[in-house]
Amino acid sequence: MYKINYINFIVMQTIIVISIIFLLIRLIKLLIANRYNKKFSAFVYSDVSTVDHSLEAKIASIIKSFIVAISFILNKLHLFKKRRQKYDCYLFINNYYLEQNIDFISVRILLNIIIILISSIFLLFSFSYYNLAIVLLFIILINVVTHIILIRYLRYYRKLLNKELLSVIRTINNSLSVGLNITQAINIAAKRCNPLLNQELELIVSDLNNGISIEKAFNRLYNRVKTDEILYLSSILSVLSKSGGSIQNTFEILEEDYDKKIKRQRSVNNLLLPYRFIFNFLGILPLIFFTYKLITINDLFIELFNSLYNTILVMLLIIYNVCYFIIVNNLMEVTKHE
Amino acid sequence: MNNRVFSDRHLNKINQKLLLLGSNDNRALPYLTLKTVLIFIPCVAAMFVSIYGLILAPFIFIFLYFYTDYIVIYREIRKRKIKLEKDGVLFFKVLYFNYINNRNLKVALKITTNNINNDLSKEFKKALDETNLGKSLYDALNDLEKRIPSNNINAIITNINEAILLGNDSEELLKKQIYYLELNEINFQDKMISKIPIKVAIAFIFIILPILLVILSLKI
Repeated sequence: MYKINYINFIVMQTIIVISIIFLLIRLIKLLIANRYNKKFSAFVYSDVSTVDHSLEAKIASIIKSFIVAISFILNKLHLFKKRRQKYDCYLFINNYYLEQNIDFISVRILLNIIIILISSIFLLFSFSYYNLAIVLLFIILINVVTHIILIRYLRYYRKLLNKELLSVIRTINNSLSVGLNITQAINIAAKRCNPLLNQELELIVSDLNNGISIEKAFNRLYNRVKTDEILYLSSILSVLSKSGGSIQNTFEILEEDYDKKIKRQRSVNNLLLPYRFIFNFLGILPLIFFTYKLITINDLFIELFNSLYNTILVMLLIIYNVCYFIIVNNLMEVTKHE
Repeated sequence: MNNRVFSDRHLNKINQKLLLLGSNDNRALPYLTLKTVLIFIPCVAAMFVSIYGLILAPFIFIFLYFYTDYIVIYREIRKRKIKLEKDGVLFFKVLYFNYINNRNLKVALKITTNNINNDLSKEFKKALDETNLGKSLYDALNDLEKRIPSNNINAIITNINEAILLGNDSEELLKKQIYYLELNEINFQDKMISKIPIKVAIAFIFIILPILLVILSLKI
Protein backbone atom coordinates (compact mmCIF):
# COMPACT_ATOMS: atom_id res chain seq x y z
CA MET A 1 0.00 0.00 0.00
CA TYR A 2 0.95 3.62 -0.49
CA LYS A 3 2.00 5.78 2.50
CA ILE A 4 0.98 9.45 2.57
CA ASN A 5 3.81 11.88 3.19
CA TYR A 6 2.28 14.00 5.96
CA ILE A 7 4.73 16.93 5.87
CA ASN A 8 4.18 17.54 2.18
CA PHE A 9 0.46 17.09 2.66
CA ILE A 10 0.39 19.87 5.29
CA VAL A 11 2.40 22.23 3.05
CA MET A 12 0.02 21.60 0.17
CA GLN A 13 -3.01 22.22 2.37
CA THR A 14 -1.64 25.53 3.69
CA ILE A 15 -1.02 26.76 0.15
CA ILE A 16 -4.58 25.89 -0.83
CA VAL A 17 -6.04 27.59 2.26
CA ILE A 18 -4.02 30.78 1.69
CA SER A 19 -5.10 30.97 -1.94
CA ILE A 20 -8.76 30.50 -0.96
CA ILE A 21 -8.51 33.32 1.62
CA PHE A 22 -6.93 35.60 -1.00
CA LEU A 23 -9.75 34.86 -3.45
CA LEU A 24 -12.40 35.49 -0.75
CA ILE A 25 -10.94 38.93 0.06
CA ARG A 26 -10.96 39.78 -3.62
CA LEU A 27 -14.60 38.68 -3.97
CA ILE A 28 -15.75 40.72 -0.94
CA LYS A 29 -14.05 43.82 -2.37
CA LEU A 30 -15.85 43.30 -5.68
CA LEU A 31 -19.22 42.86 -3.96
CA ILE A 32 -18.78 46.09 -1.97
CA ALA A 33 -17.79 47.97 -5.14
CA ASN A 34 -20.83 46.59 -6.91
CA ARG A 35 -23.14 47.78 -4.13
CA TYR A 36 -21.70 51.32 -4.28
CA ASN A 37 -22.05 51.25 -8.05
CA LYS A 38 -25.77 50.46 -7.70
CA LYS A 39 -26.31 53.27 -5.16
CA PHE A 40 -24.61 56.07 -7.05
CA SER A 41 -25.26 55.05 -10.66
CA ALA A 42 -28.40 57.22 -10.82
CA PHE A 43 -26.40 60.41 -10.06
CA VAL A 44 -23.39 59.77 -12.31
CA TYR A 45 -22.99 60.10 -16.04
CA SER A 46 -22.45 56.70 -17.71
CA ASP A 47 -18.95 55.77 -18.82
CA VAL A 48 -18.35 56.46 -22.51
CA SER A 49 -15.37 54.15 -22.99
CA THR A 50 -16.21 50.60 -24.17
CA VAL A 51 -13.21 48.93 -22.50
CA ASP A 52 -14.31 46.14 -20.17
CA HIS A 53 -12.67 46.35 -16.72
CA SER A 54 -14.30 43.29 -15.18
CA LEU A 55 -12.36 40.36 -13.73
CA GLU A 56 -13.76 37.92 -16.27
CA ALA A 57 -12.53 40.03 -19.20
CA LYS A 58 -9.05 40.34 -17.68
CA ILE A 59 -8.72 36.54 -17.33
CA ALA A 60 -10.00 36.10 -20.89
CA SER A 61 -7.46 38.58 -22.24
CA ILE A 62 -4.62 36.74 -20.48
CA ILE A 63 -5.71 33.42 -22.02
CA LYS A 64 -6.08 35.08 -25.40
CA SER A 65 -2.54 36.49 -25.22
CA PHE A 66 -1.19 32.97 -24.58
CA ILE A 67 -3.10 31.59 -27.59
CA VAL A 68 -1.86 34.42 -29.83
CA ALA A 69 1.73 33.79 -28.74
CA ILE A 70 1.53 30.06 -29.47
CA SER A 71 -0.14 30.54 -32.85
CA PHE A 72 2.47 33.18 -33.76
CA ILE A 73 5.18 30.55 -33.28
CA LEU A 74 3.20 27.82 -35.08
CA ASN A 75 2.57 30.07 -38.09
CA LYS A 76 6.29 30.11 -38.85
CA LEU A 77 6.69 26.32 -38.65
CA HIS A 78 6.43 24.39 -41.90
CA LEU A 79 5.15 21.30 -40.08
CA PHE A 80 1.61 22.57 -39.44
CA LYS A 81 1.01 23.93 -42.93
CA LYS A 82 -1.21 21.06 -44.10
CA ARG A 83 -2.78 20.25 -40.74
CA ARG A 84 -3.93 23.86 -40.41
CA GLN A 85 -6.19 23.57 -43.45
CA LYS A 86 -8.21 20.76 -41.83
CA TYR A 87 -9.65 23.29 -39.37
CA ASP A 88 -11.02 25.58 -42.10
CA CYS A 89 -14.47 23.99 -41.84
CA TYR A 90 -14.69 24.98 -38.14
CA LEU A 91 -14.15 28.69 -38.78
CA PHE A 92 -17.90 29.37 -38.56
CA ILE A 93 -17.51 29.21 -34.74
CA ASN A 94 -16.92 32.99 -34.63
CA ASN A 95 -15.40 32.87 -31.12
CA TYR A 96 -13.33 35.40 -29.14
CA TYR A 97 -10.45 32.94 -28.76
CA LEU A 98 -10.65 31.20 -32.14
CA GLU A 99 -10.13 33.64 -35.00
CA GLN A 100 -7.70 31.83 -37.31
CA ASN A 101 -7.58 28.17 -38.23
CA ILE A 102 -4.27 27.71 -36.38
CA ASP A 103 -5.81 28.83 -33.07
CA PHE A 104 -7.57 25.46 -32.81
CA ILE A 105 -4.19 23.72 -32.65
CA SER A 106 -2.76 26.25 -30.20
CA VAL A 107 -5.73 25.83 -27.82
CA ARG A 108 -5.06 22.10 -27.73
CA ILE A 109 -1.37 22.68 -27.02
CA LEU A 110 -2.26 25.14 -24.24
CA LEU A 111 -4.54 22.57 -22.59
CA ASN A 112 -1.76 19.98 -22.71
CA ILE A 113 0.73 22.45 -21.20
CA ILE A 114 -1.72 23.23 -18.35
CA ILE A 115 -2.11 19.52 -17.57
CA ILE A 116 1.65 18.97 -17.53
CA LEU A 117 2.15 22.02 -15.28
CA ILE A 118 -0.46 20.87 -12.76
CA SER A 119 0.94 17.36 -12.76
CA SER A 120 4.48 18.65 -12.20
CA ILE A 121 3.26 20.64 -9.17
CA PHE A 122 1.74 17.42 -7.85
CA LEU A 123 5.04 15.68 -8.55
CA LEU A 124 6.96 18.21 -6.44
CA PHE A 125 4.86 17.51 -3.39
CA SER A 126 4.41 13.80 -4.28
CA PHE A 127 0.72 13.69 -3.67
CA SER A 128 -0.74 10.35 -2.64
CA TYR A 129 -2.17 9.01 -5.88
CA TYR A 130 0.06 10.66 -8.42
CA ASN A 131 1.29 8.48 -11.27
CA LEU A 132 2.85 9.13 -14.65
CA ALA A 133 0.29 6.96 -16.41
CA ILE A 134 -2.59 9.08 -15.10
CA VAL A 135 -1.05 12.16 -16.76
CA LEU A 136 -0.79 10.28 -20.06
CA LEU A 137 -4.41 9.21 -19.67
CA PHE A 138 -5.53 12.80 -19.11
CA ILE A 139 -3.57 14.08 -22.13
CA ILE A 140 -5.09 11.43 -24.42
CA LEU A 141 -8.55 12.03 -22.96
CA ILE A 142 -8.44 15.79 -23.52
CA ASN A 143 -7.23 15.42 -27.12
CA VAL A 144 -10.00 12.93 -27.86
CA VAL A 145 -12.71 14.97 -26.11
CA THR A 146 -11.82 18.22 -27.92
CA HIS A 147 -11.89 16.37 -31.23
CA ILE A 148 -15.30 14.86 -30.46
CA ILE A 149 -16.72 18.23 -29.37
CA LEU A 150 -15.62 19.86 -32.62
CA ILE A 151 -17.13 17.11 -34.78
CA ARG A 152 -20.37 17.17 -32.77
CA TYR A 153 -20.64 20.93 -33.14
CA LEU A 154 -20.06 20.74 -36.89
CA ARG A 155 -22.77 18.11 -37.23
CA TYR A 156 -25.19 20.21 -35.17
CA TYR A 157 -24.41 23.24 -37.34
CA ARG A 158 -25.09 21.32 -40.55
CA LYS A 159 -28.41 20.08 -39.20
CA LEU A 160 -29.40 23.61 -38.22
CA LEU A 161 -28.42 24.89 -41.67
CA ASN A 162 -30.58 22.27 -43.37
CA LYS A 163 -33.52 23.19 -41.17
CA GLU A 164 -33.18 26.92 -41.72
CA LEU A 165 -32.52 26.67 -45.44
CA LEU A 166 -36.20 26.05 -46.18
CA SER A 167 -37.28 29.30 -44.53
CA VAL A 168 -34.49 31.17 -46.33
CA ILE A 169 -35.60 29.83 -49.71
CA ARG A 170 -39.21 30.72 -48.87
CA THR A 171 -38.30 34.35 -48.15
CA ILE A 172 -36.14 34.53 -51.28
CA ASN A 173 -38.99 33.10 -53.33
CA ASN A 174 -41.52 35.58 -51.91
CA SER A 175 -39.25 38.57 -52.50
CA LEU A 176 -38.52 37.41 -56.06
CA SER A 177 -42.24 37.21 -56.79
CA VAL A 178 -42.63 40.84 -55.63
CA GLY A 179 -40.02 41.89 -58.17
CA LEU A 180 -36.79 42.32 -56.24
CA ASN A 181 -33.25 41.55 -57.35
CA ILE A 182 -31.60 38.31 -56.18
CA THR A 183 -28.98 40.18 -54.11
CA GLN A 184 -31.80 42.17 -52.46
CA ALA A 185 -33.69 38.93 -51.86
CA ILE A 186 -30.69 37.30 -50.16
CA ASN A 187 -30.16 40.49 -48.14
CA ILE A 188 -33.74 40.36 -46.83
CA ALA A 189 -33.38 36.65 -46.01
CA ALA A 190 -30.13 37.31 -44.13
CA LYS A 191 -31.85 39.71 -41.75
CA ARG A 192 -34.51 37.25 -40.62
CA CYS A 193 -32.65 33.97 -40.19
CA ASN A 194 -30.62 32.43 -37.36
CA PRO A 195 -27.42 34.33 -36.40
CA LEU A 196 -25.24 31.35 -37.35
CA LEU A 197 -26.70 31.23 -40.87
CA ASN A 198 -26.70 35.01 -41.03
CA GLN A 199 -22.89 35.00 -41.22
CA GLU A 200 -22.90 32.75 -44.27
CA LEU A 201 -25.56 34.73 -46.13
CA GLU A 202 -23.80 38.02 -45.43
CA LEU A 203 -20.62 36.51 -46.83
CA ILE A 204 -22.55 35.64 -50.01
CA VAL A 205 -23.88 39.20 -50.26
CA SER A 206 -20.38 40.62 -49.83
CA ASP A 207 -19.10 38.23 -52.51
CA LEU A 208 -21.85 39.36 -54.90
CA ASN A 209 -21.10 43.02 -54.19
CA ASN A 210 -17.41 42.47 -54.90
CA GLY A 211 -18.14 41.09 -58.36
CA ILE A 212 -18.24 37.31 -57.95
CA SER A 213 -21.02 35.57 -59.90
CA ILE A 214 -23.97 33.86 -58.16
CA GLU A 215 -22.87 30.32 -59.05
CA LYS A 216 -19.35 30.86 -57.71
CA ALA A 217 -20.64 32.49 -54.50
CA PHE A 218 -22.87 29.48 -53.75
CA ASN A 219 -20.05 27.13 -54.72
CA ARG A 220 -17.86 28.82 -52.11
CA LEU A 221 -20.64 28.28 -49.57
CA TYR A 222 -20.63 24.57 -50.45
CA ASN A 223 -16.87 24.39 -49.91
CA ARG A 224 -17.32 25.94 -46.46
CA VAL A 225 -20.24 23.80 -45.32
CA LYS A 226 -20.40 20.69 -47.54
CA THR A 227 -24.00 19.50 -47.25
CA ASP A 228 -26.11 17.81 -49.90
CA GLU A 229 -28.80 20.46 -49.99
CA ILE A 230 -26.41 23.31 -50.74
CA LEU A 231 -24.68 21.27 -53.44
CA TYR A 232 -28.08 20.83 -55.07
CA LEU A 233 -28.80 24.55 -54.84
CA SER A 234 -25.39 25.68 -56.13
CA SER A 235 -25.38 23.23 -59.04
CA ILE A 236 -28.86 24.30 -60.14
CA LEU A 237 -27.93 27.98 -59.96
CA SER A 238 -24.77 27.39 -61.96
CA VAL A 239 -26.75 25.49 -64.59
CA LEU A 240 -29.31 28.31 -64.74
CA SER A 241 -26.64 30.92 -65.43
CA LYS A 242 -25.49 28.94 -68.47
CA SER A 243 -28.78 27.70 -69.95
CA GLY A 244 -30.99 30.63 -69.01
CA GLY A 245 -34.53 30.52 -67.62
CA SER A 246 -36.72 31.97 -64.92
CA ILE A 247 -35.23 31.94 -61.43
CA GLN A 248 -38.62 32.20 -59.78
CA ASN A 249 -39.88 28.92 -61.25
CA THR A 250 -36.79 27.04 -60.13
CA PHE A 251 -37.02 28.45 -56.61
CA GLU A 252 -40.65 27.34 -56.41
CA ILE A 253 -39.69 23.78 -57.34
CA LEU A 254 -36.75 23.95 -54.91
CA GLU A 255 -39.09 24.94 -52.10
CA GLU A 256 -41.29 21.91 -52.71
CA ASP A 257 -38.24 19.64 -52.85
CA TYR A 258 -36.78 20.88 -49.56
CA ASP A 259 -40.14 20.62 -47.89
CA LYS A 260 -40.41 16.98 -48.93
CA LYS A 261 -36.85 16.25 -47.79
CA ILE A 262 -37.29 17.79 -44.34
CA LYS A 263 -40.52 15.88 -43.77
CA ARG A 264 -38.71 12.64 -44.64
CA GLN A 265 -35.84 13.55 -42.29
CA ARG A 266 -38.26 14.15 -39.44
CA SER A 267 -40.01 10.82 -39.95
CA VAL A 268 -36.65 8.99 -39.99
CA ASN A 269 -35.61 10.75 -36.78
CA ASN A 270 -38.88 9.74 -35.12
CA LEU A 271 -38.31 6.12 -36.14
CA LEU A 272 -34.77 6.15 -34.74
CA LEU A 273 -35.62 7.89 -31.45
CA PRO A 274 -36.42 4.80 -29.28
CA TYR A 275 -33.36 2.90 -30.54
CA ARG A 276 -31.12 5.87 -29.83
CA PHE A 277 -32.44 6.17 -26.26
CA ILE A 278 -32.04 2.46 -25.45
CA PHE A 279 -28.56 2.04 -26.94
CA ASN A 280 -27.18 5.16 -25.30
CA PHE A 281 -28.45 3.81 -21.98
CA LEU A 282 -26.70 0.47 -22.65
CA GLY A 283 -23.47 2.35 -23.35
CA ILE A 284 -23.60 4.13 -19.97
CA LEU A 285 -24.23 0.86 -18.04
CA PRO A 286 -20.50 0.18 -17.32
CA LEU A 287 -20.17 3.63 -15.75
CA ILE A 288 -23.13 2.97 -13.43
CA PHE A 289 -21.68 -0.37 -12.28
CA PHE A 290 -18.25 1.21 -11.83
CA THR A 291 -19.62 3.95 -9.56
CA TYR A 292 -21.42 1.26 -7.53
CA LYS A 293 -18.12 -0.61 -7.11
CA LEU A 294 -16.31 2.63 -6.14
CA ILE A 295 -18.81 3.30 -3.37
CA THR A 296 -18.83 -0.23 -1.97
CA ILE A 297 -15.09 -1.10 -2.11
CA ASN A 298 -12.61 1.10 -0.17
CA ASP A 299 -9.47 2.45 -1.87
CA LEU A 300 -10.45 1.04 -5.26
CA PHE A 301 -9.55 4.23 -7.11
CA ILE A 302 -6.04 4.38 -5.60
CA GLU A 303 -5.49 0.70 -6.29
CA LEU A 304 -6.49 1.04 -9.97
CA PHE A 305 -3.85 3.67 -10.73
CA ASN A 306 -1.15 2.18 -8.52
CA SER A 307 0.58 0.02 -11.10
CA LEU A 308 1.13 0.50 -14.81
CA TYR A 309 -0.64 -2.74 -15.71
CA ASN A 310 -3.89 -1.65 -14.08
CA THR A 311 -3.85 1.81 -15.67
CA ILE A 312 -3.32 0.35 -19.14
CA LEU A 313 -6.28 -1.96 -18.53
CA VAL A 314 -8.48 0.97 -17.49
CA MET A 315 -7.46 2.98 -20.55
CA LEU A 316 -8.21 0.04 -22.85
CA LEU A 317 -11.64 -0.37 -21.29
CA ILE A 318 -12.42 3.32 -21.79
CA ILE A 319 -11.29 3.19 -25.44
CA TYR A 320 -13.35 0.01 -25.95
CA ASN A 321 -16.39 1.75 -24.50
CA VAL A 322 -15.93 4.80 -26.73
CA CYS A 323 -15.72 2.48 -29.77
CA TYR A 324 -19.26 1.28 -29.01
CA PHE A 325 -20.63 4.83 -29.20
CA ILE A 326 -18.79 5.51 -32.47
CA ILE A 327 -20.12 2.29 -34.07
CA VAL A 328 -23.69 2.94 -32.93
CA ASN A 329 -23.64 6.55 -34.15
CA ASN A 330 -22.38 5.43 -37.56
CA LEU A 331 -25.19 2.88 -37.80
CA MET A 332 -27.82 5.47 -36.93
CA GLU A 333 -26.94 7.79 -39.80
CA VAL A 334 -29.15 6.28 -42.46
CA THR A 335 -29.70 9.35 -44.63
CA LYS A 336 -26.03 10.31 -44.77
CA HIS A 337 -24.56 10.77 -48.22
CA GLU A 338 -21.19 9.20 -49.14
CA MET B 1 -8.90 -13.98 -76.15
CA ASN B 2 -7.22 -17.29 -76.78
CA ASN B 3 -5.92 -18.82 -73.59
CA ARG B 4 -4.83 -22.37 -72.73
CA VAL B 5 -5.92 -22.31 -69.07
CA PHE B 6 -9.17 -20.35 -68.86
CA SER B 7 -12.09 -20.79 -71.26
CA ASP B 8 -13.45 -17.90 -73.31
CA ARG B 9 -16.86 -18.17 -71.70
CA HIS B 10 -15.36 -17.73 -68.23
CA LEU B 11 -13.21 -14.78 -69.32
CA ASN B 12 -16.13 -13.03 -71.02
CA LYS B 13 -18.34 -13.48 -67.98
CA ILE B 14 -15.79 -11.91 -65.64
CA ASN B 15 -15.05 -9.13 -68.15
CA GLN B 16 -18.73 -8.13 -68.13
CA LYS B 17 -18.72 -8.04 -64.33
CA LEU B 18 -15.51 -5.98 -64.23
CA LEU B 19 -17.03 -3.50 -66.69
CA LEU B 20 -19.84 -2.90 -64.17
CA LEU B 21 -17.20 -1.84 -61.66
CA GLY B 22 -16.12 0.94 -64.02
CA SER B 23 -12.95 -0.45 -65.59
CA ASN B 24 -12.13 0.26 -69.23
CA ASP B 25 -9.89 -2.50 -70.53
CA ASN B 26 -10.06 -6.29 -70.56
CA ARG B 27 -8.69 -7.13 -67.15
CA ALA B 28 -10.16 -10.59 -66.67
CA LEU B 29 -6.94 -12.47 -67.49
CA PRO B 30 -4.58 -10.66 -65.10
CA TYR B 31 -7.25 -10.84 -62.40
CA LEU B 32 -7.71 -14.59 -62.75
CA THR B 33 -3.97 -15.37 -62.86
CA LEU B 34 -3.27 -13.24 -59.80
CA LYS B 35 -6.15 -14.87 -57.97
CA THR B 36 -4.97 -18.43 -58.60
CA VAL B 37 -1.37 -17.62 -57.63
CA LEU B 38 -2.40 -15.90 -54.41
CA ILE B 39 -4.77 -18.69 -53.39
CA PHE B 40 -1.94 -21.27 -53.52
CA ILE B 41 -0.16 -19.55 -50.61
CA PRO B 42 -2.64 -20.49 -47.80
CA CYS B 43 -3.02 -23.98 -49.28
CA VAL B 44 0.76 -24.60 -49.13
CA ALA B 45 0.90 -23.06 -45.65
CA ALA B 46 -1.87 -25.44 -44.49
CA MET B 47 0.21 -28.43 -45.62
CA PHE B 48 3.19 -27.36 -43.50
CA VAL B 49 1.15 -26.68 -40.38
CA SER B 50 -0.21 -30.18 -39.76
CA ILE B 51 -0.65 -33.60 -41.32
CA TYR B 52 -4.35 -32.94 -41.85
CA GLY B 53 -3.36 -30.00 -44.05
CA LEU B 54 -2.96 -32.38 -46.98
CA ILE B 55 -6.62 -33.29 -46.67
CA LEU B 56 -7.76 -29.72 -45.96
CA ALA B 57 -5.79 -27.99 -48.76
CA PRO B 58 -8.05 -28.87 -51.72
CA PHE B 59 -11.13 -27.82 -49.77
CA ILE B 60 -9.49 -24.50 -48.84
CA PHE B 61 -8.58 -23.96 -52.50
CA ILE B 62 -12.14 -24.59 -53.73
CA PHE B 63 -13.65 -22.41 -51.01
CA LEU B 64 -11.30 -19.46 -51.65
CA TYR B 65 -11.61 -19.77 -55.44
CA PHE B 66 -15.32 -18.93 -55.28
CA TYR B 67 -15.30 -16.73 -52.19
CA THR B 68 -12.76 -14.20 -53.59
CA ASP B 69 -15.07 -13.61 -56.55
CA TYR B 70 -17.83 -12.74 -54.11
CA ILE B 71 -15.65 -10.33 -52.10
CA VAL B 72 -13.82 -8.65 -54.97
CA ILE B 73 -16.58 -8.45 -57.58
CA TYR B 74 -20.12 -9.16 -56.44
CA ARG B 75 -20.07 -7.28 -53.15
CA GLU B 76 -18.36 -4.29 -54.76
CA ILE B 77 -20.98 -4.22 -57.53
CA ARG B 78 -23.73 -4.08 -54.90
CA LYS B 79 -22.00 -1.20 -53.11
CA ARG B 80 -21.52 0.66 -56.39
CA LYS B 81 -25.17 0.17 -57.29
CA ILE B 82 -26.31 1.78 -54.03
CA LYS B 83 -23.90 4.69 -54.42
CA LEU B 84 -24.83 5.34 -58.07
CA GLU B 85 -28.55 5.38 -57.22
CA LYS B 86 -27.88 7.91 -54.47
CA ASP B 87 -25.91 10.07 -56.89
CA GLY B 88 -28.56 9.63 -59.56
CA VAL B 89 -31.20 11.56 -57.63
CA LEU B 90 -29.11 14.73 -57.63
CA PHE B 91 -27.77 14.23 -61.15
CA PHE B 92 -31.12 13.67 -62.86
CA LYS B 93 -32.82 16.46 -60.93
CA VAL B 94 -30.24 18.94 -62.22
CA LEU B 95 -30.58 17.43 -65.69
CA TYR B 96 -34.34 17.88 -65.47
CA PHE B 97 -33.98 21.55 -64.54
CA ASN B 98 -31.55 22.01 -67.38
CA TYR B 99 -33.81 20.25 -69.84
CA ILE B 100 -36.80 22.47 -68.98
CA ASN B 101 -34.84 25.64 -69.73
CA ASN B 102 -32.67 24.39 -72.58
CA ARG B 103 -34.72 21.81 -74.57
CA ASN B 104 -31.58 20.16 -75.92
CA LEU B 105 -30.47 16.90 -74.34
CA LYS B 106 -26.86 16.81 -75.50
CA VAL B 107 -26.14 20.36 -74.33
CA ALA B 108 -27.99 19.69 -71.07
CA LEU B 109 -25.89 16.58 -70.44
CA LYS B 110 -22.70 18.54 -71.12
CA ILE B 111 -23.57 21.32 -68.70
CA THR B 112 -24.67 18.98 -65.90
CA THR B 113 -21.56 16.81 -66.19
CA ASN B 114 -19.38 19.89 -65.96
CA ASN B 115 -21.12 21.09 -62.79
CA ILE B 116 -21.44 17.90 -60.73
CA ASN B 117 -18.57 15.71 -59.56
CA ASN B 118 -20.21 12.32 -58.92
CA ASP B 119 -19.32 8.79 -59.90
CA LEU B 120 -22.35 8.83 -62.19
CA SER B 121 -21.43 12.12 -63.87
CA LYS B 122 -17.94 10.74 -64.50
CA GLU B 123 -19.49 7.83 -66.41
CA PHE B 124 -21.61 10.24 -68.46
CA LYS B 125 -18.48 12.30 -69.10
CA LYS B 126 -16.77 9.21 -70.53
CA ALA B 127 -19.70 8.64 -72.89
CA LEU B 128 -19.67 12.28 -74.02
CA ASP B 129 -15.90 12.15 -74.60
CA GLU B 130 -16.43 9.14 -76.89
CA THR B 131 -18.77 11.23 -79.07
CA ASN B 132 -15.94 13.67 -79.78
CA LEU B 133 -13.97 10.83 -81.41
CA GLY B 134 -16.74 9.96 -83.85
CA LYS B 135 -19.30 7.83 -82.00
CA SER B 136 -22.93 8.87 -82.11
CA LEU B 137 -24.62 9.76 -78.81
CA TYR B 138 -27.03 6.83 -79.24
CA ASP B 139 -24.19 4.28 -79.40
CA ALA B 140 -22.24 5.93 -76.60
CA LEU B 141 -25.24 5.81 -74.26
CA ASN B 142 -25.92 2.20 -75.26
CA ASP B 143 -22.36 1.31 -74.22
CA LEU B 144 -22.84 3.24 -70.99
CA GLU B 145 -25.58 0.84 -69.94
CA LYS B 146 -23.03 -1.98 -69.80
CA ARG B 147 -20.99 -0.03 -67.27
CA ILE B 148 -23.82 0.69 -64.80
CA PRO B 149 -25.14 -2.11 -62.55
CA SER B 150 -28.48 -0.61 -61.45
CA ASN B 151 -31.64 -1.22 -63.49
CA ASN B 152 -33.33 2.01 -62.42
CA ILE B 153 -30.65 4.20 -63.94
CA ASN B 154 -30.47 2.06 -67.06
CA ALA B 155 -34.21 2.62 -67.55
CA ILE B 156 -33.65 6.40 -67.56
CA ILE B 157 -30.82 6.05 -70.08
CA THR B 158 -33.04 4.02 -72.41
CA ASN B 159 -35.69 6.71 -72.12
CA ILE B 160 -33.17 9.36 -73.11
CA ASN B 161 -32.03 7.17 -76.01
CA GLU B 162 -35.57 6.77 -77.31
CA ALA B 163 -36.09 10.49 -77.04
CA ILE B 164 -33.01 11.05 -79.19
CA LEU B 165 -34.23 8.54 -81.82
CA LEU B 166 -37.93 9.38 -81.96
CA GLY B 167 -37.78 13.00 -80.90
CA ASN B 168 -40.48 12.82 -78.23
CA ASP B 169 -40.68 14.95 -75.11
CA SER B 170 -38.85 13.33 -72.18
CA GLU B 171 -39.80 15.91 -69.55
CA GLU B 172 -42.54 13.90 -67.85
CA LEU B 173 -40.63 10.64 -68.24
CA LEU B 174 -37.65 12.14 -66.38
CA LYS B 175 -39.95 13.44 -63.66
CA LYS B 176 -41.49 9.99 -63.20
CA GLN B 177 -38.14 8.21 -63.13
CA ILE B 178 -36.74 10.64 -60.55
CA TYR B 179 -39.77 9.89 -58.39
CA TYR B 180 -39.02 6.15 -58.67
CA LEU B 181 -35.38 6.73 -57.72
CA GLU B 182 -36.42 8.71 -54.65
CA LEU B 183 -38.88 5.99 -53.67
CA ASN B 184 -36.14 3.41 -54.06
CA GLU B 185 -33.86 5.36 -51.75
CA ILE B 186 -36.61 5.69 -49.14
CA ASN B 187 -37.18 1.91 -49.27
CA PHE B 188 -33.46 1.35 -48.82
CA GLN B 189 -33.42 3.63 -45.77
CA ASP B 190 -36.37 1.76 -44.25
CA LYS B 191 -34.52 -1.50 -44.80
CA MET B 192 -31.45 -0.12 -43.01
CA ILE B 193 -33.59 1.13 -40.09
CA SER B 194 -35.18 -2.28 -39.62
CA LYS B 195 -31.71 -3.86 -39.42
CA ILE B 196 -30.41 -1.47 -36.73
CA PRO B 197 -31.64 -3.22 -33.51
CA ILE B 198 -30.01 -6.54 -34.44
CA LYS B 199 -26.73 -4.89 -35.44
CA VAL B 200 -26.48 -2.88 -32.24
CA ALA B 201 -27.43 -5.89 -30.12
CA ILE B 202 -24.41 -7.70 -31.59
CA ALA B 203 -22.23 -4.67 -30.80
CA PHE B 204 -23.57 -4.74 -27.22
CA ILE B 205 -22.74 -8.44 -26.79
CA PHE B 206 -19.18 -8.13 -28.09
CA ILE B 207 -18.21 -4.77 -26.55
CA ILE B 208 -20.24 -3.84 -23.48
CA LEU B 209 -20.73 -7.29 -21.90
CA PRO B 210 -16.96 -8.00 -21.56
CA ILE B 211 -16.48 -4.60 -19.92
CA LEU B 212 -19.30 -5.34 -17.49
CA LEU B 213 -17.78 -8.73 -16.65
CA VAL B 214 -14.39 -7.09 -15.92
CA ILE B 215 -15.98 -4.42 -13.71
CA LEU B 216 -18.08 -6.93 -11.75
CA SER B 217 -15.01 -9.07 -11.07
CA LEU B 218 -13.03 -6.18 -9.50
CA LYS B 219 -11.56 -7.08 -6.10
CA ILE B 220 -8.75 -5.99 -3.83
